[in-house]
Amino acid sequence: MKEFRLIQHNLIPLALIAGNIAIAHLIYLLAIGLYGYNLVMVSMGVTALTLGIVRPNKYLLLAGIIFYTVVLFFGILL
Amino acid sequence: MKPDNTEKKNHNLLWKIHHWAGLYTGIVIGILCFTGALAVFIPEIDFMIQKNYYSVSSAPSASPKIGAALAQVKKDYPKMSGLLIDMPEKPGQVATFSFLVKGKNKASNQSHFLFVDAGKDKVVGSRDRQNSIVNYLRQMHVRLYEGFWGRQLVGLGGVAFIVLTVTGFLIYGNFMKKQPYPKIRKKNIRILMADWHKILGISALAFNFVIACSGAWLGLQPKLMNWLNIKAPNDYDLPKVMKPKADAQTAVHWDEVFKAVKQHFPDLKPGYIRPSENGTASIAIHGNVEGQVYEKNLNTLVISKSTYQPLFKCDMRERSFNDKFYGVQEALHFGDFGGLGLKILYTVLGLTSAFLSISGFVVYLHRTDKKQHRKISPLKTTFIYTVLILLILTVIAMISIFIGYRQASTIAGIIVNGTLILFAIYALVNYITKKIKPKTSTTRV
Repeated sequence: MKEFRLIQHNLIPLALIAGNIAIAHLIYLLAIGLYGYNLVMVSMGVTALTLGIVRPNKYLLLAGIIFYTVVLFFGILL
Repeated sequence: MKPDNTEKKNHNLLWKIHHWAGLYTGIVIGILCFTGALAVFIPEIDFMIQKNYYSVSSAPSASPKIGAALAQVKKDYPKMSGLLIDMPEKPGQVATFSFLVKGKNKASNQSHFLFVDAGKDKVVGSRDRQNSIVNYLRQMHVRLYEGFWGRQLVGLGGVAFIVLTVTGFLIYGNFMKKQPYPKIRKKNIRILMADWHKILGISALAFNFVIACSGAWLGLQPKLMNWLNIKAPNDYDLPKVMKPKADAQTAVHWDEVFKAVKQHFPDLKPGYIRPSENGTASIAIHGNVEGQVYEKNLNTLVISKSTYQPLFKCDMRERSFNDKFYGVQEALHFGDFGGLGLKILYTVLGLTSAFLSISGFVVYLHRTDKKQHRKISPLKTTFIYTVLILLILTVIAMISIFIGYRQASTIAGIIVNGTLILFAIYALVNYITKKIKPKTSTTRV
């Protein structure tokens, strides 16, 4: 039950929030034609988040959320 | 008090806030989400209308040419003022001149909107912009077509939307209990709608939060900027060097203007140009830099009318974090930084948000149905409300397009303010009645 709550009540909502931003980010990169490592990183983030939500897997969700957050911060700061 | 009870109390409070905010502002949020979902396509709709209805386009040209067309327009309308030159965004699109010819009083002022072939340098048509479908969409979304305080009402709707998204996020877990995402139960209409409300709400939460925050800011922006003394990044103040009349009559060599832009701000793609008429003898070129996520036409270059040298430059890349944060709001709200793909995503999510206000209303009606003894079923009531709102929106659109902007605005003002007054009276009467009657408990989903 604890695991269910962690995944369903906490990680999936957080992954969905990250997923909203990540999809918009991915479309933006594609629209401006920035086909570089940044696009690959964001795509990986989107894939991990999607798989984590669909499966639903704690580790994939955590990995997706953390990975995309780092990519987003680097994208904003650099 | 036990921690469990405190948690339950907090949860109840959050739910109550979500419930009341949704009930009282759901209609406005629903209308804004629906009109916003269409409003993201304003440039595309406008381009389509220009091309197919007015049959106007620009011939291919290395750089835009508007000098001869403008000279002719100045000859035809010697009393023109407030000239604004919109540059074509894409190849084939026309440039436009919009200006005012002042009459004896405000009511007799005439606004003109001309299409200019920026390849052949000539005027190719005109239209009444105020009465266009594009202006309807913009005004309905920005100020509910109400000129006095419509924009502030929209801003307050944005604040309520922030409250709804935050409380919705905080109460989501407790409402889902053992139900996994994205399972929808089909036990009855109430459960079905409640599940869709929760699933779609959490799925589009980040989008809704961004739209709500940026919408609240954009709606309340004029007042907040005034009260807090906030300046836009491209605000500038120049000294007056000649009389306004002489300034308005100063001849401009437009080729020199475009050369100056290429020289002093090479990445700037001009969006619109405004020659001064206040004695500062300047030309402001507002535009965009490819790939930026900032408000349209926020990047600015102001040059002298006589020397074509820069007087002011606002390059968002070189601006402070505060300026960048200011600039990002409108772009995030309208989603015009990621091409057509992002606009489609915005529309889908916007319609999802509009559905949230409908599903929330159905759940509310179902929940209170037994207590209130309503004669019409909750689904029918929601259907009637939705159709009525769509009908009002369509009628105002028709009036705006076929009769006139002012008439449509007056009717919208009566509807918006009349509804507000009736709503306030209803809420007051309801409150007093509840105070007099003994308290009864409410059940939730």
